[in-house]
Amino acid sequence: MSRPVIQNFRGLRGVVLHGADRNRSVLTEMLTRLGLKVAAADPLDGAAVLRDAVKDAQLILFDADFVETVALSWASEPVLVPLIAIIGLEAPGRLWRAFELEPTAVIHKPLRSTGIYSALFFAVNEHRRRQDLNQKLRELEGRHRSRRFVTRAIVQMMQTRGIDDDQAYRLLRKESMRRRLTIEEFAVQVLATDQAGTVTKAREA
Amino acid sequence: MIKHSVVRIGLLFSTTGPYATIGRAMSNGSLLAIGEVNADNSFPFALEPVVGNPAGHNADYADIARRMLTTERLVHVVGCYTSSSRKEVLPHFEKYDALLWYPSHYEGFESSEHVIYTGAAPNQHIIPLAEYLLQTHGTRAYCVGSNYIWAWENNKIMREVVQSAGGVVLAERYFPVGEVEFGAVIEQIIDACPNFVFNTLIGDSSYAFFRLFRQAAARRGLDQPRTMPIASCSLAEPELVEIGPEACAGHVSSSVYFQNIETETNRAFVAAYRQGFPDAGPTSADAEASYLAVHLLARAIRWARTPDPFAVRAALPHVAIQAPQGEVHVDRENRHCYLTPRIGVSNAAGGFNIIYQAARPVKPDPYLVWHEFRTSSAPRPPGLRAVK
Repeated sequence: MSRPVIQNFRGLRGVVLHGADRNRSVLTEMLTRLGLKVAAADPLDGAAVLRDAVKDAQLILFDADFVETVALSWASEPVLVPLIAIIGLEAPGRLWRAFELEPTAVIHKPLRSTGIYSALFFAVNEHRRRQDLNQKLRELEGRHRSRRFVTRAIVQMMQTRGIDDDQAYRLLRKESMRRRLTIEEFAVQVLATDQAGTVTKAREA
Repeated sequence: MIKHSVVRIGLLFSTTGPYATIGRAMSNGSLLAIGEVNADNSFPFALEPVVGNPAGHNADYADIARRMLTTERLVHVVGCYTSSSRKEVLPHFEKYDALLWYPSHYEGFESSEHVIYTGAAPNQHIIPLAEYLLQTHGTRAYCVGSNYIWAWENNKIMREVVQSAGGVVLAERYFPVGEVEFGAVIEQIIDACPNFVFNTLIGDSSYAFFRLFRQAAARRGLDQPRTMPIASCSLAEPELVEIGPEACAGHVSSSVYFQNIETETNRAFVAAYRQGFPDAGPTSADAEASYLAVHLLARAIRWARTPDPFAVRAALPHVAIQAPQGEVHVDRENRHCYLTPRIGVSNAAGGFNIIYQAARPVKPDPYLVWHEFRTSSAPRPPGLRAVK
């Protein structure tokens, strides 16, 4: 189920990784107006400074012209907060390196107040959507891995109870729902207990 | 004292076309202020209007604005009404480092460095209206609007405020701009029994809806203004004239300006407006916002001692005016104005009885960053006080 979109960014800790120039002041002023708590650092300050600057960030806006130095500061760990790429040069090398950091929105230099709210809106909400999708993907992968237990449980029930595969599946599904388990979890239980016992006992209970 | 110089300023209003009534009110307000500045020797310069009429066509807005900023070499333009027209001209103001003085209430979510916004931001019109309705009439809303951004965005805000107070929006219905046939939806509304109807129809659609709704309610024996009032953002006096005497009373409007605000400044404004434009009808929020845009501009030029747009923008925090609606000054962060929200109920004479007004000018919040959506109904809209 999708969560409601976030449209108010009050109190969000945003970090701008960009040299101290007019672009940066337009950006920090606008973000402040939108209620964010804004900090800034220059990509040329070095990895240690950048790592420190982004430590508690909930949103990072980085200068894609200096994407190498920005990326270096994160080399060891993946970034778990929404990223906005500030695009200057549109050379494919810049874009490719910026793309690898997986920003969920871009804004273009020279910066103006128009467009910053939109970028923030897309960055934060698209990031959440990706998080939700990743979570769902992990769940599906887990279920996919345990699917073979379902197949084995069905085969076993067909053999021990003399029923066909449809009947076995329906029984498995009904009993797993009764116990508020996924069908995969219940199948593992069935296989772990002695041959026909679990399902029969459950029905008699 | 002799005026040493002339500052030419653009007036970009659609004084003909689909929203000419409002365009003319805005033009009149600006011209009135220009006359006052020119007659006031504390301003060492005279303002000279350069007039352009896009007649409601967005493409013409862009062309005329570009011509004003290039051929005419203007750096200040007062103008635009719809948000789409403002978006059309904005790139030119950015390119030529000029300032647009935008005198209209709008749906918010913008704060360009090149625009001074003298009309109401959403926290100054829709929010006070929603809170008033929830407190006074109830939590069941029915939304009817013209099918474009003004209605969509305002209904979204209305829905959030209503839901945060535990209420419900029964339906949102949209109609093409210019639609005047509302028989079916009116029957549905009356059957649904909302506590109020939130109206974001514009122009002729709105006036037709007011008349038809009143007639249908009467046929079904309902005291419509009491049981099912229609509420609008910035329904203005000239529009009551359009609705007509049969159906113009009993409607709720949220606005920073009504003609019968009882201050010396407003009485003088109304008298001067009538004298200057005897055929123009009553004053309105649009006329007042345009009037105060020119006065703020003139004061900023005087403070900066130059019409240079950068200097004028820097001077804005230092200027304030006693406007017809009360004290107005520009917010230094977002360049919208501190304005005084009011709630009025229309009367049979074509005016509004002001029943609530904010205790002081309210800081503009164009992105609704600081608004606290309530979780339950408070006894009175915060910041508003009753007016006798």
